[in-house]
Amino acid sequence: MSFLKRGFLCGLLILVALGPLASCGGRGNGDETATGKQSDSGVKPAPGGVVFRHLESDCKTLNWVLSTTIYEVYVHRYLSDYLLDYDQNLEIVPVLAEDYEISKDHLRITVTLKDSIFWHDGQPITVEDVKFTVEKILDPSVPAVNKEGWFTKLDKMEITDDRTIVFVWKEPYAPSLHALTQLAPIPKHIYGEGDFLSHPANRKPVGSGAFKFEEWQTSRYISLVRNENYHGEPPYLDRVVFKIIPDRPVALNALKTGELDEMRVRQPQWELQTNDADFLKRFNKAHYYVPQYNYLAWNCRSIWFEDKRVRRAMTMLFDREKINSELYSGFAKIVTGPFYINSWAYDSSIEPFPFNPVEAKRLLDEAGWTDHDNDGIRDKDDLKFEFDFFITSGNRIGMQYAELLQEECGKVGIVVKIRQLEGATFFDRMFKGEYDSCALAWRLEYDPDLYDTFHSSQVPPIGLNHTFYSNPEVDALLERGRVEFDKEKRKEIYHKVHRLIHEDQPYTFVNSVPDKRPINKRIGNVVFSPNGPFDFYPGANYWFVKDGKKETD
Amino acid sequence: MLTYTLRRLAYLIPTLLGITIVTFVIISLAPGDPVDMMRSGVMSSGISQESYNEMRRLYGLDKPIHVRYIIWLRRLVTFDFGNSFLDHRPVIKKISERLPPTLILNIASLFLALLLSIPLGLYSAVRQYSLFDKVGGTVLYMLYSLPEFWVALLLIMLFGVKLQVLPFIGMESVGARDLGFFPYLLDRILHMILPTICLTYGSLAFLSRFVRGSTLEVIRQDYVRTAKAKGLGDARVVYKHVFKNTLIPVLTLLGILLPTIISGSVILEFIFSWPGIGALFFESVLSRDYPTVMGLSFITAVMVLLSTLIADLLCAWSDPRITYE
Repeated sequence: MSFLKRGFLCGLLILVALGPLASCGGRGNGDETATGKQSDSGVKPAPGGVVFRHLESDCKTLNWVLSTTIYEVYVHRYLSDYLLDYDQNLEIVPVLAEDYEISKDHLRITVTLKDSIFWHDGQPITVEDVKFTVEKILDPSVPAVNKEGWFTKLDKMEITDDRTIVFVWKEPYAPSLHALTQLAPIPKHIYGEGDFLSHPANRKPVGSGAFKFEEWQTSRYISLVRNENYHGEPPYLDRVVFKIIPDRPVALNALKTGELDEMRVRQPQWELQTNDADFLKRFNKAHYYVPQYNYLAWNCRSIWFEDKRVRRAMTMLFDREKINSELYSGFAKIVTGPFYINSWAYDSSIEPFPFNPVEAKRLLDEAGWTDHDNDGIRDKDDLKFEFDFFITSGNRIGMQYAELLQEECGKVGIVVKIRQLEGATFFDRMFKGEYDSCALAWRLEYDPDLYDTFHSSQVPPIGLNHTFYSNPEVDALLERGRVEFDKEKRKEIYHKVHRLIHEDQPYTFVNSVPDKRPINKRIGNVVFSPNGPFDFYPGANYWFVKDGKKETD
Repeated sequence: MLTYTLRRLAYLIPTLLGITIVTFVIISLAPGDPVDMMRSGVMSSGISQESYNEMRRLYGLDKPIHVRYIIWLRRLVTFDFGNSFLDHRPVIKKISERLPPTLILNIASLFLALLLSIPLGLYSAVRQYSLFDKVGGTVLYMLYSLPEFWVALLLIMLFGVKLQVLPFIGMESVGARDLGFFPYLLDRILHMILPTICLTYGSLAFLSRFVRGSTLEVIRQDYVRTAKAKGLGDARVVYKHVFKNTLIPVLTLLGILLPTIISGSVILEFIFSWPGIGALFFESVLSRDYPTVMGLSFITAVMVLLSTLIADLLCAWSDPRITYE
């Protein structure tokens, strides 16, 4: 039970410890509940009712600019609307903006705000607020580390009238439009004065979303009420209440007694504690694949893994099917490349390398790693094939990956030494590239730009290409991908990138693990994007309660 | 007595200084500082070296450790614990928000524990080796060995989920405040039942055996035999002559128990979503929120030192044989 694991930063590409944690070795019969729209069996939405949502940890702030954790994002999805956003099909749509226009040279994005939109305190939302928000994000004394990255290529903002603002970029940058989907304005008339970090409004936010802030009892609950003057269709629910329950087994009990309407559950709960008839009668069990994947990294600068044949052999020695069935009950999806599996950039026609120790042995022989001195361990130039595999300490999943790799490698004469490091130290070393191999995970963005992670100029200590991967062809494609605005052409570029990286195997792409979430059937209008029921527009804004009130009191 | 008290109070200062220095050094030496924590567990493409340095400066982490300690100490003299790194709120505010829930729970539990264990212990001693003594002792030891997180979950399953008679989340129901005074009070009391039971049952064995032990010692004293010889009734002997003397060691014990009142139980607060000090401390240590950790340790240290002092003074006051002159 670590708060770190639960307090993932959101926004931007983020490297995290392997996850989400599943059960250790639990083998269950996979639940067949399909992800998708929930049938409302003809119940008409009616205003009223309260929905109780779960937070595993309290929010630290409700100032959108300072928000860092997934829990804060959950709350802001109701409180604050974005300039642009992704819809249910992950297409960009204007929200606070009425329209946007990209200039021919791709340097200027003109955004027009909707007419007569208001903050929760009744003040109009203007382009001044938008400008103010971006300025705060870029202010070095404001720790908005997870948002800054989107706007570093921004040259300036020009305000042409009350409702029009032009974002001028230093260079053509395809993710610039995506950057505007990561921008929820905060009110200048509130935050303009006083200390930003300890501003009272950080705990009493004035937002622009479908629900208004009502009350925040530290470590107890946060409640929001319907915004009657919402610029979109008015929502149905009277209130959304977030209950802070840190212990998952307790939260599951709360779900069963109706104290909560939804929560994210772990694999063992999903398999063992949520399958009785009564539970299935009352809850829909949804699972969906979030933009995340687990992988094993091979340091391409190390003597062991400089040859791509060796890296491929490693992938063939790592039984991903077995991992999937033993650790995730078949729920994880094997991935072959660095993109979100539900995005257009991911080329699903690429077949994963199969588990094949015979072929792996052949590749290793070919690369010159044979057992010259007959001691049972492969060697080359008098160097034995013994490498370090790093995981974060206490990471059970990481340990199981490591042990499986160790076992299979041992069979073909390679010694894997498993090394555990405490979180901060681990990331420090991976960040500097001081390792042979390790297990990690990426949280991805909807935009597929991977310049920071795979371009050869982005090796440590500058960027996040921590395997020191270098392929001139990939470099060229990644450079083109960031300046290409045509989606079809971009798709072609990233499909090529996907294939090349797959061939080179700087990572062994392991899998993408779904989020699993039971939702009470008393709630109607639960709509899913490929990334679940919350993180898109309008997300959970239009949930309603079928019986008009809480299930149990 | 007065000089003794003053001298003990004077000793507090160097002791506290020592405690804070050790805590400060330990927490600072733990790998990763708050800024690292913000990016660790994560490597984000957005953090430039420039903003990393700026943030370290913002939190004062660019200064060497002794300078940081002196700054902290200087602030402390004016009772300013600084602002939390995590949410930039004053530490004193965070603590004062979390202290009442912990206090309420722990005082209730301590009260309940004493209320039950003193008569239990007394009775067991008076009827030594009786069936009650043996069975009671065994049951209490069994309770003592049950892990509280497990008992807590079982109680939640039974009373919270199966029977649905007791709430098990937090201190109050959402919106209970608007119901009026008595329904709100009832709601609060109901929420306290399960956590109080879990917090209490383990200490019953310990406390009642302690009382039993000290009673047995007293019972064998000559003055008790004298009292009996005088022809006093059993009840009178126990109440007038035994009971009072039994309480002297219990008072010493209070010196140990009082500080636990504010320290809070991390596990139980976690399970019952109780917004107390224990959870705050745990959270702050994990995120390397130095000001909050220091504030909490300082207050706990003061409490421990003061309560041992109080316990010592109480002993002298209640037992004429002890003197500090």
